[in-house]
Amino acid sequence: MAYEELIREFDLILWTAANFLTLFNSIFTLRLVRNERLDKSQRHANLTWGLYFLFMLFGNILNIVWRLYLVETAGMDIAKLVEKISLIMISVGWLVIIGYFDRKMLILKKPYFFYIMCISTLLTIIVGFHQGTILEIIYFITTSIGFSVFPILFLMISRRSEGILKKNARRIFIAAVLFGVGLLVQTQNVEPFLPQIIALFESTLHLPYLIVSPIMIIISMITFWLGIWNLYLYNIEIE
Amino acid sequence: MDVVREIDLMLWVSSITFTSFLAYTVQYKIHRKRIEDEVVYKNIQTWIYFFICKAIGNTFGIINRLYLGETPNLKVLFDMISIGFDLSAITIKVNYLEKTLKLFERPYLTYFNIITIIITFITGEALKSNEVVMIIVFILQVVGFLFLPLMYLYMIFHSKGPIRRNAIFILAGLLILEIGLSIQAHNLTVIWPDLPATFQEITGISYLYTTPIEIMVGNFLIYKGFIDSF
Repeated sequence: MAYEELIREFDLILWTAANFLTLFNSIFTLRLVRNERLDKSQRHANLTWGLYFLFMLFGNILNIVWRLYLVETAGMDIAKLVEKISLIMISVGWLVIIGYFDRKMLILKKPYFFYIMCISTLLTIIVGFHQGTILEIIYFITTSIGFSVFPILFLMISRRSEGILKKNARRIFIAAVLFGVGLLVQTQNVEPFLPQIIALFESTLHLPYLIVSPIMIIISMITFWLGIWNLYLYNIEIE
Repeated sequence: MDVVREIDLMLWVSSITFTSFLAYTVQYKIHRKRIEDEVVYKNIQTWIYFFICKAIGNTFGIINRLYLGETPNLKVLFDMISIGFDLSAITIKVNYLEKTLKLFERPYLTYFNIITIIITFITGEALKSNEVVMIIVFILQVVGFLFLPLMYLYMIFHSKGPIRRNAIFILAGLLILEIGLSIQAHNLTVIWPDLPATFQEITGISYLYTTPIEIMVGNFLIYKGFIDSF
């Protein structure tokens, strides 16, 4: 088997594992929505988590489909369309989770972070990707801000709480950072701006750069599960 | 690009991830809940070992089937390790149940499985080249795999209530899991070589996809069968 094919399958293996764990998390949280032991607001929180994981799952599946299958078989136009749908799904996922926690916690007077994510989602629809345009850079900046808000919210919860909530909010913070960074550092996002990072990684570690993103997502999904499961086990509400 | 091969790979990776994650979640839950009843604790602990062995066995199996085509010696070794881990998973549970149910004075069924694992390793190359040896070892392995479902069948007849209900779940899971593993396309080359082609003709789906799906369903039913016990 050629080296390229082996790398391709390795990439596929890691992404499949990452997506399977995302699916597991979405099933786990959506099942809690029907759990009568939890009160209404906890069920809403779990519904939000479930939707977030589902959007991420579909976004990542479409990402693999366009990257590994559609470029070769259906041509660039279809591949770009599917990529855009994938990015919109991911943006909507972040919009859902940030919208929920930002409105619930209201750190600022108004849910400004939610508004930033709305702009990011709109830009996802407008921007043409992989061209290195200014609009694309603005998109990445707003998306990065949006992605970082979610972990920051949990960092704040962790800092102002005690015991189990503190520990698990920290877990969710770590998971959210890993997940956000994992999504942003995918080869197709890094290559147009900083191709030297990919070269540096591959020459230093002698490993394909493709593995970075799915490995981060796998670790983040396990950490998410730990955090959410513990909060559910002790019936703790995030406020 | 071979789509069938890649879908097969994705399904196998999903099933291995699922099995490993089940082992991890159960281990985490028993760690958090601090179970004091030793029988319940050992039962769950042996299921964790079962899932771990299955996941390792399946990993060796998929590497053997998809990546070692050009290295026949390594292929035989990986095949044996895969079967060894699969049988070890069964043996761990059989050993636990033999001791708990007190079926015989000595754990004969465990001895049988250990001998089968040893024979699988000793036969080595002959396992692939000699059809008679292949069929004999295959029959020994199938008998070894059957002990566990039979023990749960025994439990179903001798219990009632939630224990019976859980035993039914586990039996169904074990049967689906073991049938799925036994009727993989490469195992059927001698006994029923036409099945994969016939299956594909009727359903339009590659026969390769059936086993990992059966493994996931089987493992999930097993998990459902014992997770309520603590």
